[in-house]
Amino acid sequence: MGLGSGLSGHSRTLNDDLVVAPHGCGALPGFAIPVCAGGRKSMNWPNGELHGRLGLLLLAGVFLILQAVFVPAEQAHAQQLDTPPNTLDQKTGPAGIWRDLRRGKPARETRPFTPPVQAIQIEGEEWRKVRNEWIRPIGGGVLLFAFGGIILFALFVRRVPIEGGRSGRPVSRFTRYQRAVHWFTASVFILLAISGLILLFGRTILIPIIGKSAFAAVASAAKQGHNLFGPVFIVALLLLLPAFFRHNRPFWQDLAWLARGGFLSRREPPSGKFNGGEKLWYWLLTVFGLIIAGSGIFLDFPAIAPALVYLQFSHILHAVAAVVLITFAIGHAYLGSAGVEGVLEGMTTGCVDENWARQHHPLWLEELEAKGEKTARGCPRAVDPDGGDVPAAREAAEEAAS
Amino acid sequence: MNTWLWLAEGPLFWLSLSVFGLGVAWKLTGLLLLGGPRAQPTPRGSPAGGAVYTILRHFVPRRVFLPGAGLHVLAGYAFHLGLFILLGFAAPHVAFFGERLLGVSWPTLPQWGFIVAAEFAFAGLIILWAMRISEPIQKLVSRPADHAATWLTFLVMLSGCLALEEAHVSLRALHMTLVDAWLFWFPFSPLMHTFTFLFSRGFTGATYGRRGVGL
Repeated sequence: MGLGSGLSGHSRTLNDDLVVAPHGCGALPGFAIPVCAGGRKSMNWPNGELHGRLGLLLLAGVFLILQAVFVPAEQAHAQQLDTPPNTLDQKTGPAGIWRDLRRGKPARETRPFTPPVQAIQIEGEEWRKVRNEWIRPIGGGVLLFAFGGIILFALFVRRVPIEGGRSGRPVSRFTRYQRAVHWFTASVFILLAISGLILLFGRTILIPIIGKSAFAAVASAAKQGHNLFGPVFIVALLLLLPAFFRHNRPFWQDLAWLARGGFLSRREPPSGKFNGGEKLWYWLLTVFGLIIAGSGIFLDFPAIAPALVYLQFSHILHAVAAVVLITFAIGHAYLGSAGVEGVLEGMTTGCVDENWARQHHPLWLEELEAKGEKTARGCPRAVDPDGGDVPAAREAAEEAAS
Repeated sequence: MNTWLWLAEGPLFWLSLSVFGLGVAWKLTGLLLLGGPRAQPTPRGSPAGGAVYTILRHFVPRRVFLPGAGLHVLAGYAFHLGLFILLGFAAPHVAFFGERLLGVSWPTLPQWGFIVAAEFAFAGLIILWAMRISEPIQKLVSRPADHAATWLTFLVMLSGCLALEEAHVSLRALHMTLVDAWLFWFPFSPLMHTFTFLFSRGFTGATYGRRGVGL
């Protein structure tokens, strides 16, 4: 990823080719972020530098947050830049100089009339530690925990059945548009999750299996794929979130649903169109999805990041948010398919069985009935996709035959 | 050169390209030889005019279908235009066509243009497939070959983008192998709609044009 390699000349940091203006402010060529002597700092995007870049509008919000977070760090940098000439101890020899550089001490370049600069971006080491010693082990553990939970659910609960079997009366639940954007988002999410996990854990897991040479190709492919599908995910998210917003507004009953264990409780607490778990997933996707999108823009288009530290922080945010989302997505995928009988067809055909709706979402069904909006429009015939018996469908067929 | 890449870009590519060319020619010739009805009354309009009109008119959806089919139409255009741009103007493709096939070169897309076209193509294709699996009627009329054609096209595009760094021969070889499979299967698959849409639209348009009805 290169985020940790902060040697001057190889990365865009505040130390790169710093130019000091007469008024005491330094500016980075290409970024023009003046860093002033008194720690004062102002933001002036250069003309044409960002014009036409993808996702600028989306960036604005994230950028402001990052700006607020990093201003103290930038000020510290600016103060360092004011340090008097070369503080390196020349007497200690190359080892001592190297040690000082690694501690972030400023050094004077061999070119004349240049101020001392920080040759190594020491925050890179912090970033590397966070990534390797915190995100990887904890994130890996969390993901394993999620898989373990699914296995336990499959072993002990198996599948939540429809109480009383299928009625054979379909109820329209999701529109064509909602289904399309759902599967669109899901497809892109899966591609990004796989490539992202390869990038985060591949070195640890894949190298012992496929070797370094093959992993180099796999990692290159994962990086290209991840960078390519990232912007598609932002589009998918922007289509998905409004499409499902209306029925995902949180209510107190959702907390009760969660507190009582949802459909694992002896008697499932009533819920509207979406239960507490589904709403929790929606809002996690909203918050963490937008974090992933915002930080991903920086990582995908690093030229728009004013300093390397932005990329490092973005990477940490990106990885943490991704691990959280992937963890919940594993649960969502299982409970939305094999874990609960009759749930998947809502997203494949747009319709669910009425008994399923009465069992899991009685408030929604009552609302539909009260408003006269309960409809089977566009629903397929009442056939159990699992090949099971559908009493109402059978009775209807028998009536028609007689 | 890597053996796999040599095979995929050499003998296998020429074989699949031959199958593609001969297969498409065979199918289209067969369609043309079917001809039209022999005994026809005097036309009340222009069959040729009707054919051209219908071919062009069907590029724009009718307003009455737009509320339900808007996303479908947008996704279709995003995918097909994106793929066309990638295929014809991506720098590695232009280089390949120039060196291996045509001997001529033409201007290529910059890197950002490639990425934008790829984003549109992927988004369009995934949405189209999502609709295919989630819309009961589309699901019903979709054959396994339709899904296979979608997936094979997706894998060709994906492998091409994964090889974007052009640093690993194996990724290029994987892309070329999938391209070979795509070319080989093309004449026998729903991918033939690349050419046959002209015939089906043209035939319908000509039929109604002969009757003096504009479609």
